[in-house]
Amino acid sequence: MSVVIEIQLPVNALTQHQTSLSVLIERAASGDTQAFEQIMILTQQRVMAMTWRMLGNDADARDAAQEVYLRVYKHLGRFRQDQDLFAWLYRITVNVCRDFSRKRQNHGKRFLPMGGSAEVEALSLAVDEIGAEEVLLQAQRRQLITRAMATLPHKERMSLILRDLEGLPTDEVARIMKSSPATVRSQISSARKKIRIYCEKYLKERSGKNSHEL
Amino acid sequence: MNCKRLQELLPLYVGRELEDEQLQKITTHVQSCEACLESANAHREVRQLIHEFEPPAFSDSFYAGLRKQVLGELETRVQSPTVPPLAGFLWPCVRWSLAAALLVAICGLAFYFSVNRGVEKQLVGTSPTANRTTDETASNSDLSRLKGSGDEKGRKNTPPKRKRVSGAELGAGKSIERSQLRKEAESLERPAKMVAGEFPVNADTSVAGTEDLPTKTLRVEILTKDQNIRIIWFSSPPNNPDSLSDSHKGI
Repeated sequence: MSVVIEIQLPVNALTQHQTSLSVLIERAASGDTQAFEQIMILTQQRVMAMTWRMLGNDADARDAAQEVYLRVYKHLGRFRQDQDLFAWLYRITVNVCRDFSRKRQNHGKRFLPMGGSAEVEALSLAVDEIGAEEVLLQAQRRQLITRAMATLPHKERMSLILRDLEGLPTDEVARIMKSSPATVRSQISSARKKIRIYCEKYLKERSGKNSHEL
Repeated sequence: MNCKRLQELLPLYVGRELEDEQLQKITTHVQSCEACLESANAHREVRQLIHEFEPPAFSDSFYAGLRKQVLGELETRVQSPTVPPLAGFLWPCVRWSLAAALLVAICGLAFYFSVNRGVEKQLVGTSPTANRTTDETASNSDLSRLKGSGDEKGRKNTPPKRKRVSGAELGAGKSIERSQLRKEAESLERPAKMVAGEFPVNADTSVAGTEDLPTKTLRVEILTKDQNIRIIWFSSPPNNPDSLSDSHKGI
């Protein structure tokens, strides 16, 4: 005897979501701040993740995210309904982060990877849930990749983040970066090679230190 | 495909950013080459590591604070939407627009003046030298010599239009008033925008007009401010046409 279970998927869920989003954009463009807040709620995690990955610390990421939303509100009238909202958001975020990086370079600072308070909280929660050793290992890997990303040039880092972490196709990354797909592929390839070299070097140094201590 | 070339493509191979044909070739090579397989695995690990580059989990209060800050900033901007005029002037787009407009205006003026100067030259260049009669050129040369200095300047600076004393008048033996001659002399002194040599006095044409020359000797006296100095100009009889130019030496 076989039991057939029918699951009804929301067929038009995506379309409905897009429709509601376009309505929100229209309302926000006419000056409705509540609608704009709804847009922020829908997009804030992705924007914060992008700014944090590009700038490397909580304070700058927050400031950049704030600037992104201010620019979004300012230029909302220019947004066409046939455009992808997230692609548009990414473009603005990339521009804002580039400006922030330039300002930071002018002040003699570079990519500043450092764990914020939220990270400490997340780590302490994770220690309770899973083994301390596992958490430590994760933290080490995360620290390693954060440092490796900090060594990358700005454009390579942006291309890599958009392609590998945001999962955008190369053509879309090229559009956002105002570049060609071939250039983006070259940047991504170079970034992956550099990260590999950095990690290998770091792990060798670590293993060398450990053997010396033993 | 050799190993060196494959090493170059491996970062893109693990991300599947190559064309199907290349992917197939690399897969075939990696399956048969142990060193390349190891390298490909290392790249896969790196790719997994990159995926661990995650931001910390920000709390709801953090996001609420961000939204509050943004909306607060927007309200402030709505309440005071006007930008100070000086700040507006300093906007890069405004600055660039003004600079571009200024540049266009300067270029336009420069073009206008250069074109106008060209037209003026052209007009002067096409002045009635071509239509001038032989009598006229002869009389012009005479008048320029009447000025008394005998310099080339007066001849070269002869204006295109002036009251002329033709050879016919000279032939009739009419007396030319002193004031008229003075006017002529003054008009010769007027600065004119002419290139030197634009109105050359043709020696041949001045001789050609001798058919109507007077039978009597023409005598012209010019009084100067100094009563002791008089300039007397006279022409020789037309027996010898070549002697026309020599007659001017009587000054």
